[in-house]
Amino acid sequence: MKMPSVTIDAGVLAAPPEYGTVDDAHRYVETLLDWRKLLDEPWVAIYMSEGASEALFADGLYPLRDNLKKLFAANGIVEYDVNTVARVVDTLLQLTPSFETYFRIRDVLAEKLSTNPDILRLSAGDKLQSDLARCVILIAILRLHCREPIRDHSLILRHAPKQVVNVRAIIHEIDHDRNDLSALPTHPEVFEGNVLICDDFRGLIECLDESSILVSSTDNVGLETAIRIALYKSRLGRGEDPDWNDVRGLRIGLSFFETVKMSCTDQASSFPAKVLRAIVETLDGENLAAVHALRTGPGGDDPQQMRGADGAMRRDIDYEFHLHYWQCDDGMVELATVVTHNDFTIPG
Amino acid sequence: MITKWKVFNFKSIQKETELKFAPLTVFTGANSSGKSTFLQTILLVAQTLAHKVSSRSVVLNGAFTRLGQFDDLRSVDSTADQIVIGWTCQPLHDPQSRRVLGLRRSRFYYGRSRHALSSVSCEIAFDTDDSGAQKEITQIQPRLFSSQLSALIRDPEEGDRRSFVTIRRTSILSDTSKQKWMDACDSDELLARASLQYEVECDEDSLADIREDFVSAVPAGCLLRHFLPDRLSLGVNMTAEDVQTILNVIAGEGLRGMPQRYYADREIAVPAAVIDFILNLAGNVGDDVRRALSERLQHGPDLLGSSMVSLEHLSDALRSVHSSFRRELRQQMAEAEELAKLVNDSVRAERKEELAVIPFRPPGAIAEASWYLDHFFSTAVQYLGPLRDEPKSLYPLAPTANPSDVGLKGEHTAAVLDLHKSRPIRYIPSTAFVEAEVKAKPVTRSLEAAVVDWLQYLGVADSVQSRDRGKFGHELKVNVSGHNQSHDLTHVGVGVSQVLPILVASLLAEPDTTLVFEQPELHLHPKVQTLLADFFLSMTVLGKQCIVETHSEYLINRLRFRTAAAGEKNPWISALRVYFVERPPEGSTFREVKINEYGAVMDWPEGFFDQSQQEAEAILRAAAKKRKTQRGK
Repeated sequence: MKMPSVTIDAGVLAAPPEYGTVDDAHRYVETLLDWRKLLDEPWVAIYMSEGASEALFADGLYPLRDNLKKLFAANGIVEYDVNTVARVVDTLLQLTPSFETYFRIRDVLAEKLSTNPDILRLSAGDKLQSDLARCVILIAILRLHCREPIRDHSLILRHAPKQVVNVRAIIHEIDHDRNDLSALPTHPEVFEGNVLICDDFRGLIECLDESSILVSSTDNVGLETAIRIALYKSRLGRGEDPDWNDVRGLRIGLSFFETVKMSCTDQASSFPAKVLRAIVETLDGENLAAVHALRTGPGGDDPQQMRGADGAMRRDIDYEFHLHYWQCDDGMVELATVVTHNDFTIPG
Repeated sequence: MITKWKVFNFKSIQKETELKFAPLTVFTGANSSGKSTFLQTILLVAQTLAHKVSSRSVVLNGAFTRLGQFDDLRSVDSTADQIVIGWTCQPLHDPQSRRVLGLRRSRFYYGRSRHALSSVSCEIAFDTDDSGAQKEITQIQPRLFSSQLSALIRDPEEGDRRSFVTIRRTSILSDTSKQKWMDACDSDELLARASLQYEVECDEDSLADIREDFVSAVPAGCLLRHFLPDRLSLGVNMTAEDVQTILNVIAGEGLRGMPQRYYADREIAVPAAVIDFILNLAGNVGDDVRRALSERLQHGPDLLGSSMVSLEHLSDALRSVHSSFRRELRQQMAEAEELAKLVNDSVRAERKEELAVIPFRPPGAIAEASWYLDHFFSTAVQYLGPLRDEPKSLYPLAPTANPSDVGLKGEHTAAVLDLHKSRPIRYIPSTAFVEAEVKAKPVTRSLEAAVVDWLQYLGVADSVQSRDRGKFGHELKVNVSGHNQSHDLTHVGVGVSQVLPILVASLLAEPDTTLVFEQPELHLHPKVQTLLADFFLSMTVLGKQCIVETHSEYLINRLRFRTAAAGEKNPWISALRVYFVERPPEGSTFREVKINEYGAVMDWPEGFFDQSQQEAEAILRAAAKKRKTQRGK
């Protein structure tokens, strides 16, 4: 699976200023928890600049207990204590792998960097700004030029005014160990690229391309990740406040991944999105006109195929392909196969 | 359950320190800060009351702990002579019978059933005799300086009532009021004479209870069981008692008015003037009545060779009168205002004032409180120390008085488990703790099933089997996760032998038991430490109090998590108290770490599990510095 990845800007970990509001404090903690959660998730890789701690120290934003203490005291926050929040920040700083090590790219010498919108001015200190600038250019370069594109890679900032930030800079030199950056424009040409940015979990999911994750997946983890993202986005689209972990009704059958991969490989690039939409509609009980029972024979009165108390169902993906699944007696949906039009089989 | 504990002048606890206890009370803090010291005072009280020799005020070196001698215990640089320990307990009551649960274990039950013993407080002070020949002995067996016992009785009809008794050691020689009672004791009444070395004070209600039996009684001394009042020594004016007894018998209840215990061997002579008065009143009822009564009185047994009539004979004579006349005669005696004065004057005219010291049970509430404490501390306080017996293939037979006692090091766990493995016990299954919000519903299963349930939850073993191997002792085997074969404890990690005694002791304990654990987390993986907190919480639901001394941040964090995850009716807020112990130069200080409904620590004390935080910051700071240096090269 092509694993989605993110880089957290060190500024995200800095405590809001003492004059911050109650909402600032709560949002800070909630965002920290979101990113902390990503560390344990198998479907996403999370990175941080190796200069993050140094920048925070240099700008006087770490250790953050004093700052947090003032913020919590000023706003009467009793839901969290400073040490516990600081522990989450420490964990992120200590356990998050280094972006530079993973992408084998360390530093860049550049000038006349500009971003649109201007995200650099949002940094809380000079060192943080400098570190962010370095990350922005490096990510933009990687997104545009490396052979293994990291198109989904998002940069997590404290505040993201837009989803895509355009980057312009004159690049003099890059310190890296890669062998796929030969086409890079160098001085006096201007490098132009972009980075995806987000400031919360929802923004991150919106940046992700579930279809490409599905296509690149090699096992059920990738498949389930793609389904989760599609489900999350669908629910967001309906105006809900979705819970990432709320996929309790889903079970993936033994043959399902194989048949999905086969059909996605053979079909047009829009097909994975159609499969995911069909799955999401099945899980959320939508577009019921596209669903009917999968019967034992061709007649409309033929009995439904059953597996004990579980009933077989067929949902149209498009005119040619159909999703077969079990509507289980315990309320679960067990995805069985993706089949062509004339195929009415379903594995038991 | 213990609800308060006070210590003064004991080792590092120099200042008076009173802490409130909850069903789960946790002590944390640096080494040698005073955590164990505080717990030692609980063990000291428990081992004292469990000790068979009741004449020892406090037992410094006993079954739970060996504390040395008094001078080792008194705070260094202290100016106070006495060590003080005080506490309050709240008995659990059976919801049906309303009886105190602790006393159900007793062979007998005393108390008024409509009353409920709501709380019992006790405070003892002990010291040594540095002046005399007793110096060496009192270092090992300190003297009681004072003991205060109070009981709060909840009476649904009359409201709450507090009874107390205060006992203080006093010098008989210098206390002149004691001398007359000392003179009243025969020289061979050693216990009675010894009891007078204490002065006793009671509340008015308790005194009134005593004076229902002895109108002239004053508490003159006390016989102690360790530091609890076993028998009060009442100073009694027997002349006044005889006057009252005569009045009770002739004008009141008949012989029922005579306390049999104290008059079984004692004859009371009724003065002739009183007999004449009674006969006159009988004449008012009828001449036949007078005549019959007179005749009857003349044929009574001689009293001490004299012609006086004994009170018993007078009572018999009165009973021989026909009931209708007897009622009339008694009514006349009861209405005769001059009778009381006549009896008093004539008795006192005929004999010298006579004093006595009488041993008497303490008043009802005090006796009940005393018995509760005695039973609670001698049977319901259990202690498991930090160190475990090394794992063995076979656990040899070891003598233990209590078949439920796993031992201070868990050395009897195999035997206890084998003995009780089929015994049904009530416990909270581990499944209650699978969800963040606990739904604790007790179930009843065998001890073995309950132990296995929690071993699996803690992730240290899948099953446990115990077997009696006769004279060789007991065998204990476990199946560890993922393996079908049973192994004895020498072939599995020490986690099992660390945890098993905790589970067996706790699950087997009765409600209203206090379990004291020192560093239960030793040798345990952080995950097991975390889940062990759930086990302790499950105990509190069943009325079993856990007092835990720990260095485990994981355990504390789990308790915080449970508090945060609990719903609106948060049961853990009131069930949990955490104390952080520090040791500045002026002695141990105990600071309560308040965990709020969100699981957050309010006013986080400096040094309270912030070491790893500081280390993390130091690591990051060092790493950032090194990186900067390397880049500068």
